[in-house]
This record gives sequence, structure tokens and C-alpha cells, in this order.
Amino acid sequence: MITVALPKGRIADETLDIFSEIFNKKFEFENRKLILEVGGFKFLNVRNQDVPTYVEYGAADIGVVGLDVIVEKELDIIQLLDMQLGLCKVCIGIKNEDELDWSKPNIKVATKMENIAKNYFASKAVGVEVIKLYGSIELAPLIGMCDAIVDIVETGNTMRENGLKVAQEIMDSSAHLIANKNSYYGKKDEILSIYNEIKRVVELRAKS
Amino acid sequence: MIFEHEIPTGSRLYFGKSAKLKRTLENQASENFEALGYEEIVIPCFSYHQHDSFDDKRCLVRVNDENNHEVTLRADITADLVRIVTKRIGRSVNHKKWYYIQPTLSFPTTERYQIGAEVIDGSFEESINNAMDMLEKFAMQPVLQIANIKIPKILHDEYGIDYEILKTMNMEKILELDIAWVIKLVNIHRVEDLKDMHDMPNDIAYELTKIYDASRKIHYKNIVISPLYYANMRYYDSLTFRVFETNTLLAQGGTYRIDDCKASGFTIYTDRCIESIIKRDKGKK
Repeated sequence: MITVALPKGRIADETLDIFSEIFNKKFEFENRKLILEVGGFKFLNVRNQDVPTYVEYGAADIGVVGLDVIVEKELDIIQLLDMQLGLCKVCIGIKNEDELDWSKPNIKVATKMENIAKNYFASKAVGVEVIKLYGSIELAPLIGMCDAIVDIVETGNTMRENGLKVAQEIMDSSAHLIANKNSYYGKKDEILSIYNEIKRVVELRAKS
Repeated sequence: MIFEHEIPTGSRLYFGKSAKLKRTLENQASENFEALGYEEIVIPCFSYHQHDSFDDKRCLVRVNDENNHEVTLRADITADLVRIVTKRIGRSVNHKKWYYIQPTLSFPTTERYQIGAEVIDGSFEESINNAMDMLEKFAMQPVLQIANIKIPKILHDEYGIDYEILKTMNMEKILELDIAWVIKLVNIHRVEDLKDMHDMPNDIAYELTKIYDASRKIHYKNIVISPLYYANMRYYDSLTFRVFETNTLLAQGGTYRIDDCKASGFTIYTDRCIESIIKRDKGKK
């Protein structure tokens, strides 16, 4: 039995759709159930940010999670495959009328992604004060709490609707297949077998 | 505010059943080592040189001696034990097989009790067989993973694969290389997979043969092979092993070279064995 941690919502649905295509049977969470057992797999429906934690602690053998979460959490897991789902960018956002001033001794940044923000500004040799927020990040510069935000951008609509613009792209992100280290070493045949099947479907979909 | 009942995170407290189990495991290990011709050694908690052995030195707790030289608390036993045995007591003692039952201390406040052994000029197979016998005596049946650190080193030095990719086991990047023999290397899982190495480059095949030959001399049966695994202590220079049960690393070891001294050894993580045995016994009830 392979246990798979999936992030609640669209990525979970799209991943289960890939499993349905591979095994030619229905893979779908019933109503609000958090566990689904089908075809020798146990799927756990968990919060996006918690997926790598479930995998690192061995509660799940494999998982699907955004690259931004992997980079942010800096966990000891094995990265297996870019599933080309949930494509987005991690960007610096500022107010429409502002310009990002790299000459400031210290830039105040609001974000959910503290490590990504700190590492990015450190790589530019710019001092940064990171304000950790858990949601509605776009609000922070509008009320003068910070100079900029670091956040996920998919279409850019949320930023635009709140009078913000993208000042700089930090990284591309998409959902990746990850594995627990010991599960990978102990169940390598099974994990690489499902890896190969998922890869086949992902490549087929990319071509079509 | 620190409450009067608090202890630092990562420090160890055993009492009653768990303390008794700890003592039992350590006694069993001690008797076993003595029967195998090992002698016990207790090395200092403070070290001048162990930092040379660490890739990431952030785990070291630093203090200073009376002359303001930097001293670190013992976060790894192997390097200091070998130095003490060969450089400090080597003039008066010729013994080569040493065992220890001591904790390590790492930043910020992590204690790890360990049972381990180092054999100067020792063989990899002897270390594995001794470690697995010990774990079997503790009635544990974990997975034994064998690797060879020369393989990731060759992949970097001779074939230009980024060290960071190998150290972090970023299989996505390794598989993206789309090199047939590298993909075959990734897929090696069991000892039988090492029988056919005709399409491997000679330098890689040579190192895989070392794993194959060693595996055949090991009594324990539940073996997996991980040619790409990167053991992160600097002194390992050839075959290494890890022993795990689900997500718990119970032991690890390998062959290494420290200051021109070739040796082999292993460490059993006592705390994790205790946790695993208590969990297993609870499950039986």
C-alpha cells in the first residue's frame, strides 16, 4: 500500500484524475472524507502547506505539492517529478504608483513565504524585514504596513484588483511529486513504477 | 518564561520502563561487544577537531577553553574516537576494536544516546554484521540500506553532475538528465539488480561490484541497495549503510578514512530503538 498526501482542492482533483487515467478506474474523495482507499493506494486530503510535513514524517510515502512550498519549508524529502499542474509564479508585488527601491537600507515585506523572501533579498544583498501574514497579503502595502509583498501569482487578477503590480518574479512554481526518503529507499520499485506512470500521462497531456 | 518543570527541547529524559529498557539495551550491547573482542572507550564531551568532519557545522555547540581556543561539544563520536585511539593512546595500546555507549550533543539542545563501534583496519561486512546482530538481539527487523559514496563522487567528478543535486537526492533533476545508465543506477534496488552491470561505465561498475561483493558476505536478508545515496559525514570514503524501520533511522555506519587511518564503524541510535520497541510492545497489547 502506498500512501499519498494531496493538497485539498484543484491539485488533488487533477492528481486523482491522472490516477483515474492510469488505472482506468474512478479515484475521487467522497463528500468531506479525508481518506480515500482505492487500488492499493491510500490518499490523504490535507492542507497544501502540510503535504511536505506528512511526507517528511512518513505519514505519507509520496505527496503532491507546489515547488514554492517545498522551497519554503526546506524539508528533507525527495523531489521526483514536475507534474505541470497549478502553474504559477512567486513574485514581489508593490503598489501601482510605486517603484521597488533597491537602494533602501531595509525593505519591509509582508508574505506567507518567509524563507523564500529572506533568501531572495539576501541574494540581492538587500536588508529585509519580513512580516509574516497568513492571508489577504495584498492588503498590507495598501494600508502602509509594508513596502512590498511576496506572494503567489497565477493570473495577476487579485493583485490588479487591489491596485498592485508585479515588480519582480522570484521563481516559477508548479505541483511536484515528492517522496519520503525511507519510503523511497524501502519501496523504490513501487514508487518508481507510479512515478513512471504519472510521468507518461503528464508528457502525453503536455503534447496534446 | 521558563516553568520550573521544563527541560530544553531535544534533551532526553528516561524514567521507569524506558530507563530500564535503555539500561537493558546498553547492557546487552556491552556483553555482545565484549564477546566479539571489542574494548570499551569513553571519550570526552569536548572536542577541538571534530568540526573538520562536518559539512554543515551549524549543528555544533561551541564553547571556549581556558586559552580561548574554540571547543565544540561532541556531536559525532567517530572522528574523535579514531584520533584519540591512533594519536593519543596509540603509543601504549595496540587494540583495534573499540565500542562506546555515550550520547552526542548538538545545537541547540539535542541529546542522542548512541551505542557504537569503530574498528581500525576493520571491514565493512564486519561492521554491518555486528550492527545487525545487535539489532536482531533487540528483536528488531528493520531495512538495511547499502550505498557507496564513491558513486555520487564519481558522478560529480567524472560526469559533471551537480553535487547539490546528489546531496539533496533531487531525483527529478537526476532523472531529467535522461542518461540510460544513470536511470538504471536510479532503479537499482535489490542485490540481484547488481548482477548485470555490462552497460555501466567501468568506474561505476567497479564501485557497484564492491556493494555486490559486500552484500553477499552479510548475513542479514532484508537489504536494499541505493547507489546514489550520499552519506553526509566527510570522513566516509566508500561503502556506507543505514538501517531504518518506517520513518525511523535506527543505525548507520560505513568505512572511512580519518588522518590516513582506515577504519570501519557503526552507530545505533539508542533513543530511536527505545521508542520503536515501546511502540511495538504497545501494539502487541
